[in-house]
Parts: sequence; structure tokens; C-alpha cells
Amino acid sequence: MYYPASGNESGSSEAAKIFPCTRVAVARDRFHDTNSAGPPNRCESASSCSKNRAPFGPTNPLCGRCVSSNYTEIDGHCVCELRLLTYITHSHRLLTRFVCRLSVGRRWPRRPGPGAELGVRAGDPCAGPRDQRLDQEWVLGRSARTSLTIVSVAVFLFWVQTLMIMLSGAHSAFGWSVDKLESRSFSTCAVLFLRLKVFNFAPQQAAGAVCVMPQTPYEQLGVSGVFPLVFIGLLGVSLVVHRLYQYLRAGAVLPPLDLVPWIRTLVVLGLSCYTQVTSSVLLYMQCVNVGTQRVVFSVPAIDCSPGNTKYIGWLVIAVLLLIVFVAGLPVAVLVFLCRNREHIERGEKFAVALGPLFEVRARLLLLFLLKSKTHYW
Amino acid sequence: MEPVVLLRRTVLIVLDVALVLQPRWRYTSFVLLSLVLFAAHLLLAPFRTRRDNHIEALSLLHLVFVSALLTSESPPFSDAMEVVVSIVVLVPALAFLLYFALDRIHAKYPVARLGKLFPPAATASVLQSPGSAAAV
Repeated sequence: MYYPASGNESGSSEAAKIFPCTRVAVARDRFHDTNSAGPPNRCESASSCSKNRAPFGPTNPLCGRCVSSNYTEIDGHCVCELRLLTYITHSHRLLTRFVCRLSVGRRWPRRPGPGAELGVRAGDPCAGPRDQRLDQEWVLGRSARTSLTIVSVAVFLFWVQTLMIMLSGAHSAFGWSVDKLESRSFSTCAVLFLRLKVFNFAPQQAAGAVCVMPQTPYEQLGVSGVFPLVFIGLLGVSLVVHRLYQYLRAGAVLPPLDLVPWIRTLVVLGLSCYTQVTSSVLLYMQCVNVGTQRVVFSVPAIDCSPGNTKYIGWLVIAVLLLIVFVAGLPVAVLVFLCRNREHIERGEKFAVALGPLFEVRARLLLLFLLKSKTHYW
Repeated sequence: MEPVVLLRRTVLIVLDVALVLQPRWRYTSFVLLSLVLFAAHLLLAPFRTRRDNHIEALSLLHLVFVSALLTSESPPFSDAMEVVVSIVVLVPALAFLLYFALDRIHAKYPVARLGKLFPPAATASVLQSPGSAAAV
């Protein structure tokens, strides 16, 4: 595999800086490590860019551009296939049920009444197709049906997401397409690696090199930042289907809607997307000099020189996301917990719904913030 | 406590992005961060139950191990190194998922031998006392 040069190397010729597929040449200088830090798969050989990429040259630093606008760069590959929708659907089903089943936590006791038994049926984020059982009491964030708590899910998600960050750029499974991996002796391992990316809330990466429609590099990076929100949208669709099902089954007397499990699932999904959104925002802002040009390191097709108004336009969105979501979310959660500590201690319904914000860590900061007399922490 | 968790993730991503041009420092920073998180977890044992604290401690220890392993060679890694990393990562990942699956199966069809691994809610939810927090 050939890696693109970053353009920071000294001692190489100008051509080596701009035409990156010269691994041997750049390997001799002291920036050898730099070459391997970039996203792989830009080069096919020492003299050409990889499949479906435009020929290298001064206008195509780091082999960043695809051959035409019909191709989109997904996970380091210029492709355009229509398989992503399947992966999104499957990922949504897998993730929503995985997160919800194990992390919905304590449920508000259901009010008995006509149609109440429909609570966990169609559309319910925790309900499988054959799950017809009634709700059960949830204690300490633990499902009565399992011995695991929300902590187990949170720990698992953080662990997988951290591994994905650590191994990005290091393990070939994060650069090769599934087709390419099939020729490798340890392809099964690598495919399993790709599938783990589902837990990073990045099914577009877990799917390998497939896309749903042609996108510009800006759109591609932008979508990767907001893509996790698709899961939240699908959760909303599930809620609508759930209510429709209840309406059709119950007839005139529609049972009251219990939003607690939905809100809890929404909170967990939102928190789990944080890594993916933050990573995309920060990567968009990371520019490197390549010869006379300045490009985004992770997506070299994006020119981030000061005169590029298109880049600046998207940069405004990235900065807004940085302020509102990346920096704002932790502060907002902290303020929310501080202001509502009494409601939380009383176990009011909204506190149960937003439980994933404070149930995960029992003592760490709440020890100082909440000064609880009723809880262990 | 989610603000702390989010802050932890932010630090990790900032290190990842800021040091992408210096892979050796990048991996070294991962080792140091993982060690700090592991030590903090051992000191604070922030979860309610002992088992949750054990799971978190194991996962953090694994992150220390993986990040230390990555510092041993400059990328791109050799095939042998990739196989080693694959095993070191995938085996625990599959074990984790198997644990979730077994828990579900055990909840539906209780197996006596699995009782110790998946204690009933009443036992498992026993709060970890502050005195035993450091003994995770």
C-alpha cells in the first residue's frame, strides 16, 4: 500500500511534495512517519493514483480528487454504489435495539388502562418482532430481564470508539475496501474490524467503500459529521410507527404515550454520536501545506487556502457545530444536572427520562454537585 | 457522569487530530491518557456496582495495552503486527459481545452455571461501599 506524502517533508523535491506516490523517495527523509499518518489508499503504485482517482498533478495534491463528480470518496476510496441504504437500515436496527435493550434503564411504571399492554410492541425501540411481554420494573438502570446496567453499554461504546480512534491510520482494515480485503490472509479479521465501526455510529465507514449518491468532498465530510443524527431521525420514525400501530390496535381509545423509553434512547444515541461529530468537525479544520497549496489533511480534495470561499462557508458550519455541540453539550449537561439536582433526587419522571445523563457515573462529579442525602453518591 | 465522559472523549479526539502528523507522539499520548484514565478509575471507582467498575477497569487496561503495543512499530505496520493487533482487539471485542449475548440468553433461559457470571439484579445492584472503592 502506498501512502500519500503530507507535504511537510523537507529535502524532497517539489515534485515529491505535490505528486505523493513516491514512497521510496519520501521514506528516506525524516518525515517518513508523517507519510503513514495520512489516510491510505490514495496511490495505486509509486507512479499513479488509485482506481477512480484523477491523475496526480499540481491541481490534485495528495491524489485527493476522484476522477469525476459521479464518484464520491468513502473511507479513502472513490466509489459510487447503491448499497449504503441497506447498511444504514441494518445499522439502525442493530444499534437502536442494542442501545435500548441494555440501556433504557428504569422505566416509569405504566398506568394500567385499555391498550396499556401494547407498550412494547411494534415500533417500540426496545421491542423485537416476537417480543409481546409487558413492561417490567427497572431498578438502578438495570433491566429486570438482564443483569447488565447502562454502564456496561456505555463502557463498551467508549471502549470501541476509543479503539477506532487509536487504530485509524494504523491498521489496514481502516483503509482497504471489503473487496480488497478478500485477497488477504487475515481478511476475516479485517472485515470484523470494519463491522466494529457500526458501534462508532459510522455505518458509512462500516459498510466499506460504498455510497448512496455522488457527493462533493465538502458534502462527504459534512455528512459524516451529521450522519449520526440520521439515527435520531429514524428513532422518530419508529415512534410514529409505534403510535400508528397503537391507534390501529386500540381503536377509539388510544393509550397514553409513554415517552420515557424513547427519550432515554434518544439521549443515549445523542451522547454516543458525540465522538463521530467531534472528530469530523476537528478533522475539517486540520489543514496542511502541500507544495504551494493548502488542503484538508484527511480529505485532500478540499482546498483550504484563505481565498477559498466555499471552504470558509463550510467552516462557519463547522465552527458552529464546535461551539454548540462539541463544547456546548458537556456544559449544557453539567448546568442541567446542577440546576435540577433536587428533581433528580426526587426521582421525578423527567429525571427518569434523562437518566442516562447521570446514571452512568454514580459518584464521580455528582459527589460534589448534587450533595445527595438519599443516594449513595 | 456524562460531562466527564464527554470531556474524556474530547481530549482523546483533540490529541488524535492535533498529533496526526507525529504518529509516535500520537500513540505515546494515547498511552499516557489511557494510563491517567485507568489510574483515575482505580482511585475513584465511580460506578455503583463492583462488576461495573471491574468491566471499566478491564476496558481501560486493554486500551493501555493496545496503545502501548502501537508504539512499538512505525506505521504502516507489517502484516505480522497487524495480525497481532487484530487478535488483541477482536478477541476482547467478541468476548464483550458474547457477554451481552449470554446475559440475554441467561435472562431468558436461566442456566445455573452462569449464575455467578450474571448475578440476579438484587445481588448485582448492591452498592459498592466507599471503603472498597479503591479495591477494584
